[in-house]
Amino acid sequence: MSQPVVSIDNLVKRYGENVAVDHFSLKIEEGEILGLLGPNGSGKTTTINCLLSLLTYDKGDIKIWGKEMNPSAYDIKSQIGVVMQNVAVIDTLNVYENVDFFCGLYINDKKLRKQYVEEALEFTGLTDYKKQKPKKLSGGLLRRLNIACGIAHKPKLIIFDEPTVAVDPQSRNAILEGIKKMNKAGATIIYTSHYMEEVEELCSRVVIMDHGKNIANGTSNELKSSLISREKIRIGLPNKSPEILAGLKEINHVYKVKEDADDVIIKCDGGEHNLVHVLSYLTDNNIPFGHVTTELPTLNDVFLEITGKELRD
Amino acid sequence: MFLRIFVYKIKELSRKYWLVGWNFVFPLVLATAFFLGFGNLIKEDPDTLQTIDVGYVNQLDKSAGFEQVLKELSKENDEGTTLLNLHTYSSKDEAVEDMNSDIIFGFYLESHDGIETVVRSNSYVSTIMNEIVREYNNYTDVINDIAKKHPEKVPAAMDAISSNNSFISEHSFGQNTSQYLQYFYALLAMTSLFSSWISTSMLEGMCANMSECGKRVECSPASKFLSIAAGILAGTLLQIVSNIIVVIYIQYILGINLGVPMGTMIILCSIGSGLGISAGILMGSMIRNERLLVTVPLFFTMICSFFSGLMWGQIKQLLQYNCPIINKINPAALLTDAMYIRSTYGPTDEFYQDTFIMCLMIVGCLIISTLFLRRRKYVSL
Amino acid sequence: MSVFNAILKSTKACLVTIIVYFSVFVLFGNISARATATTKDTMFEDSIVKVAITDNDNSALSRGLIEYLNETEDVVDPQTTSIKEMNDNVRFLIYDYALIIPDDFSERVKNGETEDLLEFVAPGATAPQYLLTEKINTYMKDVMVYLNSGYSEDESIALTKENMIKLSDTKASIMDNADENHRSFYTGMFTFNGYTLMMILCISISSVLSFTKDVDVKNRISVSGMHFKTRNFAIIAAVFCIGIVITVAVTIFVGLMGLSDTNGKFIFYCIDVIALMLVGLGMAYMISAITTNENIINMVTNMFVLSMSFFCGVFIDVQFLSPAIVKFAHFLPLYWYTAAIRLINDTPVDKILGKTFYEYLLIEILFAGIFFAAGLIISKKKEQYAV
Repeated sequence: MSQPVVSIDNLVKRYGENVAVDHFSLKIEEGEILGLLGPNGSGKTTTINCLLSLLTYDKGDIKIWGKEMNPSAYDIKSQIGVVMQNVAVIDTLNVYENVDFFCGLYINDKKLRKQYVEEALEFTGLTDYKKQKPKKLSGGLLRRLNIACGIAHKPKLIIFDEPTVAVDPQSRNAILEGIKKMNKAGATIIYTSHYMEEVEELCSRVVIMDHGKNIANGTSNELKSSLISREKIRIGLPNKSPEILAGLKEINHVYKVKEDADDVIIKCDGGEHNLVHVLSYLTDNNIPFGHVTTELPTLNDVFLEITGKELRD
Repeated sequence: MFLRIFVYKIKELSRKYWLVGWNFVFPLVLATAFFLGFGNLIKEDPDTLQTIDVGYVNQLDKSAGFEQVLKELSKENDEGTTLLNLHTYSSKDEAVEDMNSDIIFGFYLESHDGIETVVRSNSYVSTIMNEIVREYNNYTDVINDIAKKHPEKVPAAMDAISSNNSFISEHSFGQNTSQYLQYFYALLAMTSLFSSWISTSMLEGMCANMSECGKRVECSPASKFLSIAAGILAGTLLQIVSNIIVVIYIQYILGINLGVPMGTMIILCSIGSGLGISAGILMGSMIRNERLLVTVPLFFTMICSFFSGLMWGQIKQLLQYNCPIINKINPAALLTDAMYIRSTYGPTDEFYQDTFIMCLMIVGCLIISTLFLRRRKYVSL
Repeated sequence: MSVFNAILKSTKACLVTIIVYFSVFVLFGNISARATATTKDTMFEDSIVKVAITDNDNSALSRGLIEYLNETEDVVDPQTTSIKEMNDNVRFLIYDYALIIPDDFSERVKNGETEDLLEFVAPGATAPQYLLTEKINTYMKDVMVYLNSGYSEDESIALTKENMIKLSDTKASIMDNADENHRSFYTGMFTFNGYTLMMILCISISSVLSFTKDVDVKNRISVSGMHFKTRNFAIIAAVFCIGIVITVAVTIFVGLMGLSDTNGKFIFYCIDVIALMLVGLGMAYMISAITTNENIINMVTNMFVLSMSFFCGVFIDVQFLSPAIVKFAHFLPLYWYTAAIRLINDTPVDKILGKTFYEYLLIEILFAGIFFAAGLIISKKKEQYAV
């Protein structure tokens, strides 16, 4: 088996009494897009800062490509790209100069750097804005510049720390498409977010963090399949007599029937054609009903089931 | 890498309008204000004794000896100056009228009761006017004394009294630097120390605990010290250019001779810039709060400048006797002192001592900063 | 009322600036006002020179000279034996004159030498330097004449001293009818106030106003349904309120500091300060129209007010400025403020209220109007071109 790109073992980081990262372990294989999910304050950014050797930590080991990561590990650093949560660009330099400056911290060859900078601008759709100062850019363009500065040197490991916060849907899609392209080109990606839709769409594997702990780890489907609730059916039911509710609960694979205002929520623990079975029961018994929707479980449900709270709490 | 960071730091810093304003424009505006305020005083010291317009009223029936003395004093002396400008009046009222109209400072009224000095207010000039009467009376008294006991010595005594002996002479230090130049030296020191802003601003973009850009730089394989060294060089160069512009402006455009040879001035300005930059690096390495990163360098610069005599020229000399250590640890005082000594006394031991202490301060600040900045991993960000 | 309250509350952010400049005013205003304040002289008094004496001879003759100077001047410790340091001390006014008595002084006097027996250090050809050099020369001449005429050393010293004391009775009198020779404490304080009050008003009001100029805040207030007149009235009222509080605080402080020198002119100084307050508010409005960046507000205010203070007689008396500068200063509001102060100082209290005083006040108010209009035009142009 090949060596993991990132190996975090038993990481502990404390701020006084507060434990920000609590015995957190993680391995990331080459070519993966790992989604690091967790609510605000769950320890995602602290873990990333420890991984980048920006922060000291109290306990644990961090290895990248099998080598211990430390502030002087320049050979490792040269292969890493970071896209910060907050926009990290220099206001007084224009778009091109910003990308060139940050790329220049990695690439010495002037010709190669020029090529990389042009490619990064093209990749992020900033070619037309290269003479503009960051202050003149819109929020979305600024985020793209932030990305261009982090990835221009074509790193093998790219860390995206919530890159889509406060970004319009169009720019968000462009960013996500870009990340997929980079991954296809061979980059291993760590993507932190609290937007589960993004993570589900993008990541090949997901780690959920809460209170600094790794509370779930697997592909999106693996995590969802670990849930008891596999399907959720919502029906607008005017008559919610105990007999009807009891009848619904009798249906095969239905394990919970819950009233929710005018609706009834029916939770199923597996099986196929659950909706057909429920509708058959209602029509067979002449029970009137309104709208019907069915939902497959999301990562939020996973999180809710594990922690008892929503991801965006 | 070093050169690239250096070039980009020059671009980055020189495009910060507030920095250019405070470091380049403000000193020029202040130099102009100083020039317009003190320029006249430097060219013509207001404390220099000017010819005194005096009046003389003779109420005696005959011409008096004292009038002759006043006439003598109204002639140009050996040094090319004239002490008195004599106006004679026939009546006291006329003299009073001219005195109240500022035509004369005061007047002498000679009558049978003696000579009376009349002035409008007490001052050194009124004392000088009175001193002339005293000297005149004094000669009479001395001759009278001698005539009593040693009448044979009277002719010799009269010769001695009328001789123009100079019992006391002034110690000369060569170049007579105006004391008002002190304000321009303090201005240059203030300009130099303003560069501490350049440093804190530069460090802000280089340290992960100060900004997002800093995080990006620290995540890169570029050596932090190499990057900071390039930034220091860029900041120092900008500050030296700013200082030289101010010096050239004062010396050649405003036409005020600072009294220090241009080469020495550039060296001193470079050391001053280094001082400001290294002090700023020290502050930047110790302070995390964004607001403090602006206010601490500002207060540091203004306090150091105040104690070097920017607003009150006397303060540095007062400290010299009451708390001399302050002058030796205040970078602005050292710089103004070095300029003052160089212009007044030439390259003396004290001048080299000041220069050496300043160099030592630069090295000290950089070493301490290095110790702070060595903690490349932060406990918190 | 909410706009009014918000503006008043946001003044807290400028509290440090206000405290710093107020402290500068308290410290330096007091120092300069006390140093330059003079009172009407009623009798003639000799001006005394602060002289530091280094006696390397320590002979009867040198001691006699020191004794004489001790009786007539203010003899102080030279604090150093270095002649360079003495030079620094006279330059920086620690003392006016440094007299050095060489170790061969007495011997050379007895040998009949008459040239360069003593040495002095003084800051150029100043009045104190001339005065003391003359006094020492006269004293030495007397001693030498007595010695050469056959008197003993002790006799010569005693006779010279006796003569000098007798000469103190020389008739001299003061004939002073006008106020203009004298600068009251209030004049000093209020003159310095021209700098500090302008700084406080410009920086704090510009900073406070800058928040109302922020596009988002401005839009939010605009859509709030508050009438245009109501909100602008609230802004103007709040700004005036801050200005008046600061001005009143400064004025009360000056009044309290100068209680011992109080005179009927205080009210006229206050009127002038209120006119200056209007200028400060106008200027603050103009600066806030130019920029909302706190750093630039600070810089522009410093450059403008500091320069004006130099040209208009706040830091340096107009009599020392070149005529061209004074002419130029006529186009600056601070000049008219200091001119009004000089007028108040130099004019008897019952004659202050007159055409000239009103003219000065009117010019100050006109300047305030010009600044305010300029601010309006700049704001409008900026909005027009979306700068």
